[in-house]
Amino acid sequence: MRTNFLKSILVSLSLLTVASCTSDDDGTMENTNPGKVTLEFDSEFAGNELTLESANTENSNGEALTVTRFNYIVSNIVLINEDGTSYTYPKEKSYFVVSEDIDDDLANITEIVLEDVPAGKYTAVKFGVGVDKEKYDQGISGAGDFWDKAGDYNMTWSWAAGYKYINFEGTYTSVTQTEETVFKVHLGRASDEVTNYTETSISVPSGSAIIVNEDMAPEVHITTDANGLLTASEALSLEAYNNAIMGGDGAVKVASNVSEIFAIDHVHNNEAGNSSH
Amino acid sequence: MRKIIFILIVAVVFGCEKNDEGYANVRVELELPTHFPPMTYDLDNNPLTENGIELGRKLFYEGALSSTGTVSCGTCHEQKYAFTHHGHTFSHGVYDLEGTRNTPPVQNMAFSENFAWDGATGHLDLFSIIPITSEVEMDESVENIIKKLKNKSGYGVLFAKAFDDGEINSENFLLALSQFMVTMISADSKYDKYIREEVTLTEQEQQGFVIFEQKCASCHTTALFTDGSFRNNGLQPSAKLNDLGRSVVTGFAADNYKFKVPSLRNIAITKPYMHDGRFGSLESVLAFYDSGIIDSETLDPLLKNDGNIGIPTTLEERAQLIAFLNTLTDNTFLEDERFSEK
Repeated sequence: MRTNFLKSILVSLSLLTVASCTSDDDGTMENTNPGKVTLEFDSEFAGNELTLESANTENSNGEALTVTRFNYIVSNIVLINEDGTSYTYPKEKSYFVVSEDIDDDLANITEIVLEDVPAGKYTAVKFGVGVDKEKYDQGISGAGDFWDKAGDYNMTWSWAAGYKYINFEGTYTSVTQTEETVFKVHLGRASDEVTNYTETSISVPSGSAIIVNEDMAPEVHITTDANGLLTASEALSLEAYNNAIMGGDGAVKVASNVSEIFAIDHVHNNEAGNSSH
Repeated sequence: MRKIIFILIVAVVFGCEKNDEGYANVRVELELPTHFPPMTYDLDNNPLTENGIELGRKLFYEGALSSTGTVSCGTCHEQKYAFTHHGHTFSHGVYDLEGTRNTPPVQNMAFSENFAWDGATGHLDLFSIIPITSEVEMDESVENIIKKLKNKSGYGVLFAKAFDDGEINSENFLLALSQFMVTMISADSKYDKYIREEVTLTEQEQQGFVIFEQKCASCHTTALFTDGSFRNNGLQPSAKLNDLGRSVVTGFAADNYKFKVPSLRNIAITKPYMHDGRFGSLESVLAFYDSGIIDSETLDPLLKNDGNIGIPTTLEERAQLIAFLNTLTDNTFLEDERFSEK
């Protein structure tokens, strides 16, 4: 009885906390000035945190990958409002490198900060992986700093003068490949017809939203499953591709897997000035 | 007084405004040949200016673009041979290292959709990166070139004059090179004059033109004399190089041994021929199309007719074709001082 009483107090207390949070959120919604949104990319490998230089369990193709580099270009970000309208982040600012790399000279980049986003409750994020034809066709003008930054992160090809949309590298073993074997998966444009650029749209978990205004600093936690690049809907055995997938039908299959590796895990609707993970 | 008024008008027309660095930079309107297809290069992204083009010209002939400081774009792209490397089967780069492909001409780049023999890039701005970073060509990085240019006297002012932000950076560097190359238009050969009804062709040239239209113009289309596509023309692959061409870029086996259809402008002075420079004369090229083509899975269908492979020509027809091809030599372009090292 006594325990029940305590329990009910605890329940009421937690309800109070929840209620106060809600009223806070409602209160801050009155601020209609634009705010910022942070997209945090949490790299995973088949449900576990991606740990570089550490062997993962065999994937569904029977290959055990040790990843040393997982870099990709995120572009053309669109936030979709709960009312169905959408906000497209200015294209000229909408190209980012996300990086998990053992190269000590490179600071890993896992956050993208969008500034001046109109106030609203957003429930989905749409973005591209790579560089779209429109941007590519603008040549170096406008690409300016991004070309250099992409180059710093090994996201450009010089012999083919273009962008690597994804640079996924490491070693692997399998039943037939018992020695650690270097693999490289580089996704990029093959031609005007086969651009391999893909867009994906991911929704917030049911019941949540990305609350944006001047008083808020929401963090959207996006998981990126590196394992899915070779396993999502198209199975690509590294051995079958001679340990390197850089073009041809292999790249086309990787591109089709790309849209399935991202998900929004959760959203922190932090108040501006605070942050949590 | 009349003179002053004229100058005023010119200044207004060209919008001779000062840029952020305080330099006047005159906009340049490109004169496009009316018989050419539309330009592919979008000048809205890189408006031509006198100073931008001039900077591009200087960079084109700048040895500092290579790791050794000795190889410029102009080393392999010699103007009098329509910007090819005359007499060289393959390009020669730093330390006289040899590449694996024949240097293509630099002409009418503003009308091209893909660049290099295998279309390794689809944008002129990015193209220069390929020879710059190739270990057997210029063996340099754009990043390091920028450092070198910053330390070289003269370039500070040239970049400040050419671009609004005036910075010596990779963007402005590549934009300037593009500006120069965009202006390199060859459209004043005897053929062009004939099209413009300024001259007539000889009997033999005329007959060559007729045969050309029948037997060559399905790939060497338009006034550019190329459709820009990638095709396997049936060359026996070199056992040593086994250059897969387009499929090196795309990774598709269906693109094996395909190379970009080259323009035939200035063809008479750009020997040797083919992507690997294997033929030393146009006679050899025509003889190859007549009877040297090797069948393969990716051989261009246009080269197979009713079970016969190749483009048959009589010796007389070949002489006529070559007479026509000679009309594509554009001396105005080859001697244009705007494109010279000076």
